[in-house]
Amino acid sequence: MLAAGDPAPKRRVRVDEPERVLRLAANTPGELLDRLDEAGSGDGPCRIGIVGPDERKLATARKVLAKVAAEGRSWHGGGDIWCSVDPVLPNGKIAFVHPGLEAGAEPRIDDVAKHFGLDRPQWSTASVLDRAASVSATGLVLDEALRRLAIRPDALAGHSVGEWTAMQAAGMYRAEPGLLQRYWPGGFELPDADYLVLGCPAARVAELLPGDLVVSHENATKQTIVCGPPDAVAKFAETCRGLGIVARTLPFRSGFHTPLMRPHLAPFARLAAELDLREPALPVWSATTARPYPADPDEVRELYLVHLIRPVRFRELTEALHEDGFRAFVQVGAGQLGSYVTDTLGERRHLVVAAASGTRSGLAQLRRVATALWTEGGSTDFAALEPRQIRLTTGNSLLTLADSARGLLDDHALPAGVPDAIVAEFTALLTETRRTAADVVAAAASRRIESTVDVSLAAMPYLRDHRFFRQREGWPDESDFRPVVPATTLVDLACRAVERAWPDTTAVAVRDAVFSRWLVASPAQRVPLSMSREGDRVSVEIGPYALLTVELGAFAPPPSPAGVPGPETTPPLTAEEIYAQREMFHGPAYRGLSRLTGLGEQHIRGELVVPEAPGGLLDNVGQLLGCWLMAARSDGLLAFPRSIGRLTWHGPEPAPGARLGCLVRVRLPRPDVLEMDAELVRDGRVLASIEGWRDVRFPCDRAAHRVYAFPDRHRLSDRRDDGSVAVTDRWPTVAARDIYAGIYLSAEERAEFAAVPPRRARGWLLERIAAKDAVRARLAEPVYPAEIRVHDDGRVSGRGRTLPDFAVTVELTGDTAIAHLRSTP
Amino acid sequence: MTIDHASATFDIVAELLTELVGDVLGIEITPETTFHEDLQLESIDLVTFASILTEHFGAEVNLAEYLAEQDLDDVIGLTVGDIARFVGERTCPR
Repeated sequence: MLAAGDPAPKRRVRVDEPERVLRLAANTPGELLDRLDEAGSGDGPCRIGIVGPDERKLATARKVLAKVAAEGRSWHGGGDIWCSVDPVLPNGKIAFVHPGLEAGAEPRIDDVAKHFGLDRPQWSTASVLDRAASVSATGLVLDEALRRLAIRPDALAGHSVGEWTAMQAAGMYRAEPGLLQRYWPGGFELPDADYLVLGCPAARVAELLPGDLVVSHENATKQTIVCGPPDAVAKFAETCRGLGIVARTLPFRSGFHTPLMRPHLAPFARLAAELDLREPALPVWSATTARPYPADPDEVRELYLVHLIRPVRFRELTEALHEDGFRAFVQVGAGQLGSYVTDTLGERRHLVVAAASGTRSGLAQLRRVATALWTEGGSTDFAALEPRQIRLTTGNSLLTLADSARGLLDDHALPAGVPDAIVAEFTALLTETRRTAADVVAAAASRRIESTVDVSLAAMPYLRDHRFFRQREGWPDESDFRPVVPATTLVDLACRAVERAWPDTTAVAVRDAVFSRWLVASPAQRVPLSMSREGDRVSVEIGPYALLTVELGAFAPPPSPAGVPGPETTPPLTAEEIYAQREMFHGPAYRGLSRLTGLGEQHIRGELVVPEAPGGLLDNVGQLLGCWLMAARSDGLLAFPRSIGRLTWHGPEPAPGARLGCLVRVRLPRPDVLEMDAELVRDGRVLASIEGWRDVRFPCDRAAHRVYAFPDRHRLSDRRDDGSVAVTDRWPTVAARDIYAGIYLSAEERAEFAAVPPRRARGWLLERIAAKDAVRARLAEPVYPAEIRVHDDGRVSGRGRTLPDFAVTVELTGDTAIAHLRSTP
Repeated sequence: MTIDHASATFDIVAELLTELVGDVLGIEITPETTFHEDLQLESIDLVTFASILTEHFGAEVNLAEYLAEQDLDDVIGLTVGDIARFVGERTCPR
C-alpha cells in the first residue's frame, strides 16, 4: 500500500513534499514479489518497505527481495529498502541505545523538534561538557519523537555519556539547571588524557598495551579505545599503525572511564548523592556491568560513580542484550554506535537503525526508522510523521504481525550462550585491565597514599556517645546499639590524615563531601583510606563510606558575620531538654548545644560549646539543624547528613570547651531533603562557613520519634479494643525500614531479616513489630523490643529476662499487621 | 606509477569493495565514490577493508598508516580514488 503524504502547498515556491513510503506485506516471499509488481493490500510476516519509491528503486527492490528470499537474511536500508521474510519483532525486544561522545556526529533534528513541538537543543562542541550536553539533549528530543511514533522500547542503554541520557529518558533523574555552578563553582576540571580509537579487538590491545595506558572502552568486536597521557597515546598510535591497526585520536580530551578520573571524583560523588532518583519507567542497562541498573537507589549512586572510573563494556552489553532477547537496536542520535552493535553481533539476526543522521533531514531519517521497524514486524504510527493538518490513519492490520508469523523465532534456534572461550578471553581481559589500571594509578599518581583506619570502639571510644539505637542498661551486644562514625568525624579524620601525610600543611577547607553509607564501629573493622593529591587539593576516599576533597593552604579571611535573617521566636525546648528528652540522641562526648537562642521560619540560632569528640563541633551544627526540623515540622523528623558542598575554616578549630555562636539557614529543596548554610562565630569573628550541607530525611512522625527516643516505653502500634495491637507500614523505603529494624530487632533477628526475600521484607518486619508490641502492651514494665525474641511458630521468649509463656498470632492485611496475644499452656 | 598500473589497481580495489558491500544495489564504483555517504560504510567497516587490502596486496599496503598521514579524522569524505591511489603507490613495480 502507499502511504500518501502531504500534497505540496500550491502557492509556495519551495516544495516540501514528504517522501512516500511503499510498504508491502505478504505470507510468502513469492506473494510479496507479486505485490511488488502489482501493489495491493495484504498482510503477513514477509515485508518490504521502500522509502521514496521510484522505478529504479522498485527494480532494486526485486533484486533485494530475491536475495532475501534465497538467503533468509533481512536487508536493512541499502538503497532505502528494508526487507525481511523472517522478522525479529515482535518476538524480539527493542532497545534504544543512546550515543556517547564521538567525532562529528552532529545530527539534523531541527525539523523533528519543530514537527513535534519540542525545544530544539543547541549543538556545541566547544568543550567536552558542551558536547555531552548537546548529545544528551538531542537524545532526549529523539527519544520523545520515537515514542510519538508509537515506537516503544523494552529497555534503554547508552554508551558513556549516553548512559546518563538513557537514565534521564527512563525518568531516573532530571538534569537540574545550575549543575556547574553547584558542583564545579571553580570551573570544570578533567584529566588531560587522549583517547585512541583502535580498529582491533580488546584482547589484541591487551597484548600490546604499554603500562601507562588503559582500556577505556570496549566498543565492539573490532573496536577498542585506550586512554592515557597524550605523548604516550601518540607513541602507541604509531606502534599500532606499524602493525596495520587503524588508530585515530579522538578530538577531545578527558579521562572518563579510567582511574585517571579518581582525583576528580568528589564533585561527581556529591552530585550522585544528591540526585533525586526515581524508579525507572523501563529497565536501563549499564555498560559498566552489562546488566540492568540495580533497584536500590544507593546502588544506583554507586554504579553512577563506578561508571566514571571503569571501562565502558559496550561489546559485552550488546552480547548481554542479545542474550536477553533484544533484536532491534535503535540508535537515538547520529554517529557510529549502531555500527558497534552490528560489528559485535555479526551474522546473528538483529536490526540496527539510527534515529538521526548527519546528512539526511531528521524527519526523513525517522521515516526510515519507522519503515525499518515495520519491516521487521514492529508497529509504528507512520501518520505521526505526516504534516499535522492531514494526519492519515493507516490501517492497523498492516502494522501488526499476523498469527502465522508468531513463533518464527522458535523455528530458527538462535546461537546458544556465549562460548566458554569468549568468556575466558573476556575474564582474562578484565584481569589485564585491572592490573594495568592499578599500574596507571601507581604511575600517574605517585602522590596517592593508601592506608587503613581502625574503626572500633577501642580506637574511637567516643562513639559510645554516638549510638543510633537504645538498649537496656548493660545490654551485652554492642552491635544492637549501632555505634556509627558521624559524618563530621569522618571529615575530621580525613583532614587530620591529610595533614599527617603531608607535614607542615593545614587543611583549610573541605568540599564535595559525600557520605554514602553508615560506617558502623561494632563489630570493629579496618577501613581503607586513600588520598590522592593534585596541587593543593587532596581527594580522600574512606572505603565505600565517604569521599571528599580536602584543600590545603592558608585560612581564607573571614567574611563579616551575617545578621539575624528574619523574625524569630524562642525555641520550644532548651538545650538541656533537647538531650534529656532525646530529641537528639547524642551522648556527652557529642553534646555541644548550650543555648538555643532563636527559631525562625527558615533559620535557627544557638550557642555551642566544643565537645570532646573529634568532629564534635560540626556535628553540633548538624544537631542545631535537627532542632529546627523537630520544632518546625511534624514528620520526616529523622535526618542524617548525606553531603556537604563546602566547609571553609577561617582559623584553627578551637579546643574543647570553647564557646561559639552558630547560625543555621534552612532550605527544603525537596520533601526528603533538608539543606543548610551555616556560620560559626567566635568572639565576633566568623570561624567557619558551611555551604550546601544536605541531610536526607526519613519518614518519622512525632509518635514514631518517641519510639526511636525511648523504645522501652513507646510502641509503633496502636492498641485495639479487643486487646490486640495493629501497626501500619509507614516506612516505604529500604533505608527507612533499616532504621525501624534497628529499633526493633536484635543482631540475630537482623540476620534473619537480611535473608528474607526483598518482596517479603516489608511484611516480615511489620509482623515482628506487631508481635513484639503485643507482648510489650501486656507487660507492666518498660521492655526494649530487642529483649523479646519472636519465633517462627509464634512463641516468644525473653532475651536476658524472663517473660510469661506467651504466643502471638499475627495477621498481615495489606499494609497493616494485627497481633493477638495468647497464653500458652 | 604507470597509467595501466593505476587503472588495474583501481579495478581490483573496486572489486574488493563490491565484494564487501554486495552488488545488489548496482552502485557503480568510481574514483569519486565516497565510503561513508555513497557506500554507507562506517569507521569500523574501514577496519575490515584495511585487512582485506592487506590480505590481498600484502603488509606494505597499510591503510592504518595512510589514514594517519592523511590526518583523516574519519571515513567521512574518504573516496575510493584516494584508496586506489595509495594502494597503487605502495604496489608500484620499481
